[in-house]
Amino acid sequence: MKKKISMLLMGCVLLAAFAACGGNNEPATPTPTPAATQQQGGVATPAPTPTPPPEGAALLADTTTFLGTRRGDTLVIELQFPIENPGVFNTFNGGVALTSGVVQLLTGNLWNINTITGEQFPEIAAGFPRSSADFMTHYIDIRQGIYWSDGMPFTARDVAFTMNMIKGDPDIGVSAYYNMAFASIEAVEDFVVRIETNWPYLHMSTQLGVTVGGNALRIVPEHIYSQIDNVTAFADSNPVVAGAYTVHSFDPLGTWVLYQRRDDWYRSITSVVAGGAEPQARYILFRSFGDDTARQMAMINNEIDLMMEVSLEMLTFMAMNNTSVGAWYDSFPFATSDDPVAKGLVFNHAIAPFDNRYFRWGIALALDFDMISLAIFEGAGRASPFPIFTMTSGFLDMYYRPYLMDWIDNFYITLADGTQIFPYDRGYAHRIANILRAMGHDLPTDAASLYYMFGYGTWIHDPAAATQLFHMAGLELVGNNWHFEGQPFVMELTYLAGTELQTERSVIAAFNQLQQFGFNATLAGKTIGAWAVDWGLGNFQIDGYWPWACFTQNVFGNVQTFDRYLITPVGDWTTGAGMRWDNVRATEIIHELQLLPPTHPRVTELAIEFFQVAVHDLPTIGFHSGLKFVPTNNTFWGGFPSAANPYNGPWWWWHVFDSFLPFITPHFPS
Amino acid sequence: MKFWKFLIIRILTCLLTIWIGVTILFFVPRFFPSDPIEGLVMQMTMLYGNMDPAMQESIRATLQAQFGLEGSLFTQYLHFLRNGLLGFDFGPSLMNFPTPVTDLIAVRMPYTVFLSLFTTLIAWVVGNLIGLYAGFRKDKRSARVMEMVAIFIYPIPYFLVALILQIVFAFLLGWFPLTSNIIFHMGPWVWFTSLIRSSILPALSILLIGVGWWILSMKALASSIASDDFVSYARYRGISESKIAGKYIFRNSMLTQVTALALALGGVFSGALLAEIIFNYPGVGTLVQQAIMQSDYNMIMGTITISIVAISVATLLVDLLYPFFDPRIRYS
Repeated sequence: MKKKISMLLMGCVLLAAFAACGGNNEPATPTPTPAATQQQGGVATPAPTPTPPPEGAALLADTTTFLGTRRGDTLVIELQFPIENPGVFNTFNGGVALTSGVVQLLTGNLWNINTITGEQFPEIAAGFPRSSADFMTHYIDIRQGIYWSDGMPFTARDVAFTMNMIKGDPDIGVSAYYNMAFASIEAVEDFVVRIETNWPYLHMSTQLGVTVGGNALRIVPEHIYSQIDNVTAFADSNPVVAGAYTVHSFDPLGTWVLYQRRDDWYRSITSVVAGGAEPQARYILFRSFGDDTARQMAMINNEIDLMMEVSLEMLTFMAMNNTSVGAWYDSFPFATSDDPVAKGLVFNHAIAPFDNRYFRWGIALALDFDMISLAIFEGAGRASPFPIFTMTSGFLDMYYRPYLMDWIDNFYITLADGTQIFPYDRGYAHRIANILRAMGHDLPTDAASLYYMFGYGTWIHDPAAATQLFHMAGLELVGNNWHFEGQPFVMELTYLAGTELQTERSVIAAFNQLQQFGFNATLAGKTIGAWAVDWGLGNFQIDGYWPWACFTQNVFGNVQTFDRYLITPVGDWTTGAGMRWDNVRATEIIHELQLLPPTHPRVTELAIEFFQVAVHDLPTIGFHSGLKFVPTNNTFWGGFPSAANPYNGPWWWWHVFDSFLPFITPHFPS
Repeated sequence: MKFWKFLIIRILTCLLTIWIGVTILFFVPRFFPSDPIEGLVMQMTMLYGNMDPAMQESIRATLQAQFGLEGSLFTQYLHFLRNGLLGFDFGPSLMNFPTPVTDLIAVRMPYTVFLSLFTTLIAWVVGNLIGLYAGFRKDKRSARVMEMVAIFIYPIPYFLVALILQIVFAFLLGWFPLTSNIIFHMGPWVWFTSLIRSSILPALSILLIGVGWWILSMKALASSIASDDFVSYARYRGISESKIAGKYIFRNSMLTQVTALALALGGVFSGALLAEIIFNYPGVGTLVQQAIMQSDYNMIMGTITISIVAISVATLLVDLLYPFFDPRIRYS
């Protein structure tokens, strides 16, 4: 017996050690080609998910959770952290834990987004704003048929009240902005809001709607909030909601919140927007599971259905120990690559030689992306080398394939000796796939699938050209070390530590390669508070940040912070991008975009030109688009967004999660 | 008279210690190259994707005013001494504005105290009894075995013990929940049983590590005292072994152990941080962790000030109680 116990313990420790080392010898199953997403009334309609639940799951579905709800009726979602201030469901109270189900289940936005197609769709609004010719007066039609959970109809008065409440309460963060931007907000009919603005307001749906993860305008019930004197201190522990779920109970210590589907779910925002579709889960439990070890064990034990993003190693370990655990793909490379923020290197353009285009191009060509890719997540992920723009599915469809692919293939840099270098390397997807196959991964062979999985290309690795470019930027190679302006050159690479694994590994991999290239480089991780300060003040040299994020065709929101008139000297706060990229043409494009309606044909032309200007200048170097390993468990529930069923991205912590609810289906309904 | 002089000096020393501690506590986080407002704005930018620069500026200005971080550092310091140190009002938690820090601590503190206090006391009692036996009967095989067990357990990193307990008793055997499930809304009995079930593994992990130290320290003291002349003399006089162990060795060893216990009890208030994280146990430790990560100055000051005051007061009390443990000590 003693021997058995010690073997068991040894096994556990070894298993944990293997997980930490990230070993992955599990042969992958064939990866499905992404299916086309169908649009119906602005909402994606998924293809059916064929994955069957594991044997024996039916019996387990009839057991109860620790809260007494039937497991088969309860969708369990992981809370990333315990809630510090439980019982706060008012989104205007600073203590609310927004992603603990509050923004996903209880409320909605005027406009939301399909993160795969990049298209916004009206959610609370019945359409896009109707604006006057001068864009100073706007009418927003509100959907009819939505009711608050206490039976009151949801009307334009709720929208107007919420916006006026924000204007009138200086304790709400965006109040000052609303006062600047909006002259008046009024419900002119039961389902029509009129907004008068103080300047031509061309981007209403992107400023007041969701373009990536969320928006600060979350509509509250007028008949409740008009009775509250101090809105920002109001907890709203038993909220009246327009979403499909109400709060059933919560842990006063913050480790869980249980939501229950409304009896009149068909009158909720979720259902009305989905054309009457029923949110399938009777209960949704958001629960914190502690540290990474406990999280993994809970997932393997089928205690979690939908998990916060993890590392590749954790996901591989969980999938090895529970065949029902998967993610965007059910096997390697697991992750979706549609997060709209490419992770890579950002330069501080206010400091020499980082302000020099040739220096930045030199860095790009000095790096061996194949090795970097293997170091980050063993080659998983779609390459996204371009500055500012990310290779999301939407971007590939809207811009890359129709307008940019030929241009980037023919883009070149002229070196000092007159040589023309064509830096875009189209061979990456096939090359990395071959490496990964040799490692035992089963990957598709058709080019389209490989491009979708690994990207269309990356910057070439050309040390000789890089050396010339560094010389062109004023650097000298003395012995084995680089010098700048007669002094040994030391550069610091920084990253946000602890929370952004992809960025962290990207910067560390680049750091190692740059040291091998003869650079005296240092490396430092920062907490979010320190990192944000240094970004605003320009106290960094090369950082692993992502000052861009865009799904939509109209890229104004993505590029507006690169306006050169927002640049301040290092040490002074900037409201623009902290990287302080100063490009005259880019700024002209931003100003022109600002004055164009989002659907104007010129918007696309300007976006293309902005892309070309950015590639020429290379203010940042992208590595991969944002990779998200979001584990799902198919034991009790199916229909999660996936590569086979890409009706949206898998980011359940974003506002768009409410649109998933009709599609996440129980295998064993009661 | 000499006692009162001693008492006044000791109280003044205690107050000075607290003042130095909280002053360091106030200034050190503020000298970090970090800013809670920028951290919050950045988190919003990450969630929303893009924000109009004017909207960002609006949020930044509002938070600056709300958090009371305008004014000189000295003004903020005086405000903290007056309200925080004297009134235990640390203001709102910056990350949970406007909820007061004291409200958030008050909810979790009983759980931290429950877990840490019981485990510390049990470890102290069990460890000292075993240590006394191991030191007094050092030639016996059972004493050597106990000492060996303590030597084996003590240097094991806490997280490894916690992890093994979690894997074996929660994941493989399923006897206890993987993470804490304390249930409030189903009545007091369910609350109590769920609390006990959730506390056993974290408590056991703290106990195992804690008891090792008490065994080793007590064994060293007891074996040293057991070889003193007065113990040999007691034996020659025919005093029973149990009396020698209890009255001669145990009492003479207690002074050091009581001092160490006082320090350990003071530390109870800062929470069993690792245990809380690993077992997702809802205590003050996780508040401290999040506060440091997000530069929530008020929360950092609230939690650690309580710890500083608790340790200082516990040390003061022990100083005053020494004569009761050891009659040889007198303040006159």
